Amino acid sequence: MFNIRRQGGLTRRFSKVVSYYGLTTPPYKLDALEPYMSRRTVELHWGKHHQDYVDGLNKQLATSPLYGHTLEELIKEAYNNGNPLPEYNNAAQVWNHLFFWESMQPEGGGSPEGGVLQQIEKDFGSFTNFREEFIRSASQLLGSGWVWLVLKRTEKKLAVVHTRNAISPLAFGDIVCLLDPFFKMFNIFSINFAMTSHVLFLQPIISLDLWEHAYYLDYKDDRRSYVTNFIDHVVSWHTVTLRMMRAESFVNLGEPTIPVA
Amino acid sequence: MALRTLASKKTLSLALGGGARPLAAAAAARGVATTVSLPDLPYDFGALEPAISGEIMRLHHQKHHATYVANYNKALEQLDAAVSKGDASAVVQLQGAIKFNGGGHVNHSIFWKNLKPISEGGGEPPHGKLGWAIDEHFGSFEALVKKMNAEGAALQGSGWVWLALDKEAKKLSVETTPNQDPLVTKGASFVPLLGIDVWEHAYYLQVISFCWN
Repeated sequence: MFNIRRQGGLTRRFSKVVSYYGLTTPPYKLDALEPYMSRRTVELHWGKHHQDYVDGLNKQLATSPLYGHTLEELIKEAYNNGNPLPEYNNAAQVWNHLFFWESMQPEGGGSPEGGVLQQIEKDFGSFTNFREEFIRSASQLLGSGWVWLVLKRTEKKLAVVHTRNAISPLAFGDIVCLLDPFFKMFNIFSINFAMTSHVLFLQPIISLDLWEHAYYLDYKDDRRSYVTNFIDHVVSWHTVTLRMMRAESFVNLGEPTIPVA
Repeated sequence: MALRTLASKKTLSLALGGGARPLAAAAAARGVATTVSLPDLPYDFGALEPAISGEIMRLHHQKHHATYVANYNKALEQLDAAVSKGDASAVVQLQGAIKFNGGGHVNHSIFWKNLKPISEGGGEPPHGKLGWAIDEHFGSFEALVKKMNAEGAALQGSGWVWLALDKEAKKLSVETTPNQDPLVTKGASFVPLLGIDVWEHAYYLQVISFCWN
């Protein structure tokens, strides 16, 4: 989306082009996820909350030194190694919600097939174990946040993690990339590394919004039903397959079991 | 045998002032925190309409607050067990659940008292000493309202906005706490005068009528 402003002198040569973030529609109609997520929820969640994050981010970027990054770069920059800058919350939530809409599809759920299923069975024991782990992680999150299925780069395996508020696994990627060999050299740091490593260097595969606005209209306080319906009926295993394929270009999972195009 | 029964009943009632669980008695004797119960609302669920709907009040009180109470009591039992076993890591691990659920109970108990139906004076601007203190510290009541609204809207995720009295510094301030952290986590000398729950569950069911009509 482009918004062109002309500044300065008398000739067009001095005009400056400024660009803003826009918001695409979810990859399905707003009522396509019924009855598990009502049209009213999607309309509000995407049309108001997600839109507010985009508008808020654009407003901040108009006067921010962080203008000019791609969204993923912006999130890493704004995370600022744990001291988030004001732009972080909006940027991260814009990305998180885009990732969330794409993690779902009408008539989703069921179980994955082929390489994705094999990887889940390898890393969780069985699909049922993964499903229970996902639901348990969601119930352990206190307050607002997200539940993720991620691919851990160093351990080369899938895992379920939850994050608070707007934190996303993207923020942590580069940090470990730099420090990983250093930590391995000096075992005295290994305790700290182990404590934090479960949230470092992660490739996100599925996200589920656990802010109350995501489920309150449909489920009131029954968060568990929301999570169960998500994993049973709404999660898009097609998207998961695509994301795993992409992740395999960063992480060597051995012989390719996720189909390569 | 009758004598023994009498004796044990007497001990229990001495420890607690009548009709309480043995765990609470043992806990009180040992100095560990006792369990809590859901306080009744001093008004009907629908008494705060149209500002807050009866459906929200009912859910907020009967579901959310009740869950905090139940989980806090459960965490206290687990804490009791961990303390008596001397399991330090279990004790530490329970702190998150205690802070969250206990805080939820404390905060909501304050919240219900902060609200009143219009017929009983709810919504009237403060007068007397509080009114003067607000004027002194914020300039005007409207300025305070504006500040609390701004802080509430700016809060990321879930939390509370407070009008706080700093007992030592003797001044009023507007504070926010994340999730269910009680106000004292911001400073031991803070006393909560007014708390506003800005968790989405506190208002979301009415958001359609507020925003999108």
